[in-house]
Amino acid sequence: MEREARPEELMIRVARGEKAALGELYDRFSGAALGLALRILKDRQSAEEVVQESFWRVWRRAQSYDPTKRFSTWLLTIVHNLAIDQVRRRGGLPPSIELDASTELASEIPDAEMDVPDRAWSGVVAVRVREAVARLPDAQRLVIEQAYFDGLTHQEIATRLGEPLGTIHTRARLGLQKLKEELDDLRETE
Amino acid sequence: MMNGAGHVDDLVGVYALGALPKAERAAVETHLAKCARCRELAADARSVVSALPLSADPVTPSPDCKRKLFERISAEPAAAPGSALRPASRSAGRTGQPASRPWGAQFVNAFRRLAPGLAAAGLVLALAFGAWSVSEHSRADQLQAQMTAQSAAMEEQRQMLGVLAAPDLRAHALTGSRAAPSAWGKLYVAPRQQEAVLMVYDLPPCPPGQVYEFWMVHDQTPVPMGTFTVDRSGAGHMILRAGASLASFQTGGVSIEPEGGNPSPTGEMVLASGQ
Repeated sequence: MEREARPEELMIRVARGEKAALGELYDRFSGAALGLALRILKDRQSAEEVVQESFWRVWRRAQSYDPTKRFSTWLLTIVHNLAIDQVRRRGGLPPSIELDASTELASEIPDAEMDVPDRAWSGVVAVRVREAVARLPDAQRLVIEQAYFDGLTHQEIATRLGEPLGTIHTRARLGLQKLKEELDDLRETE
Repeated sequence: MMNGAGHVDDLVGVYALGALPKAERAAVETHLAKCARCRELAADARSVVSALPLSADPVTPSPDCKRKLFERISAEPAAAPGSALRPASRSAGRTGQPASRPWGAQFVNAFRRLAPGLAAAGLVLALAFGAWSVSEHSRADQLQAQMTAQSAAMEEQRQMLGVLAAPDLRAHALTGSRAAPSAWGKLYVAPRQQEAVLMVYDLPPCPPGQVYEFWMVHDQTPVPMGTFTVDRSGAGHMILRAGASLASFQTGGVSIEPEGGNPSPTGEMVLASGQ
């Protein structure tokens, strides 16, 4: 029985110039990409442009993709960076993250084992992640959302909320810690 | 922002969320390259952040989006994926001949990331952002240690690249057994050089006192080819110099054996090729 090709294996074919392999990756991941872009940009047209641009970059940079790192994380980091760049520009804010190759590539620092499995991109796990975020104390959830979905810097968040920087740092750290605990529980019951 | 020892505990959250401006982020990364404890905290934070996109509902794009993407791709000259070299050999690739050169280029970058330890990255960051280090004195010691580790890593990389750049490079796929169903791997063989590189992914960590051992079947007998372990992500690799037998490689596999290896396989097979 033929095993479905892993995204990392498809990327090897993309690096060789196989459009069909890119098409396969698009079919599997464009929904998640658009969902994220929409959440950040809130308008359909810009979000679809970001999705298109993101897969274009996947195509162009296939040879610098590290096949030992998870494809979905790499793709969604590209989507995230492109969308945040736009949303900041719209809001008249200076770019906070340079969209150079080093921020798009999975960094040298290895991700912990809890990288989200690709099959999680649909269904039950997604609902549980949403619920875990919703269950966070408001103060922590706000910092995480403003940082990740609104693309604000720690200083901008601190200014908006009228809180010291240290408070913002602590809320981000505790919020992510709490999410990790909830998601680790999820993994055990899967 | 940082405590006396330069640790970045309280910053890992905003760092992982991408909420630190460039200069502060670089300072954190310089520290992370030197500090395993903070690196682990940062890795945990980053892994949670990588799940945040799941909190957004997936939305199917319009058919236009895919169409425009592929129109853009087709409009590009034949040299496609980031390669400024050899448009001619790329179209040769499409007619079915293996294009080993683009493969080699892709894995050059992959293996740079596989270099053991973060010495290389840390060295580059420390030099580029030296002004952010905590103290000049400890920095000198750190750089010395990093350079020693880095030259060992670079030597190993050089050997791997020597195999991968071989014009007669052949690849054999390895697939996981029932004991490790999601494991997979590739054996890259350079027959004329009589060298090979084994790459494995998604293998669980070995129980204490045990290692993974690679075998090649020669004249129906499994020949031991060396032992290795895997990192936290389940990835491992090994450089092999096995002489003439490599050129005639047909089947092989990986099993779990006691530390130090075994002359013949007794443990569970986790990966096998030649299927």
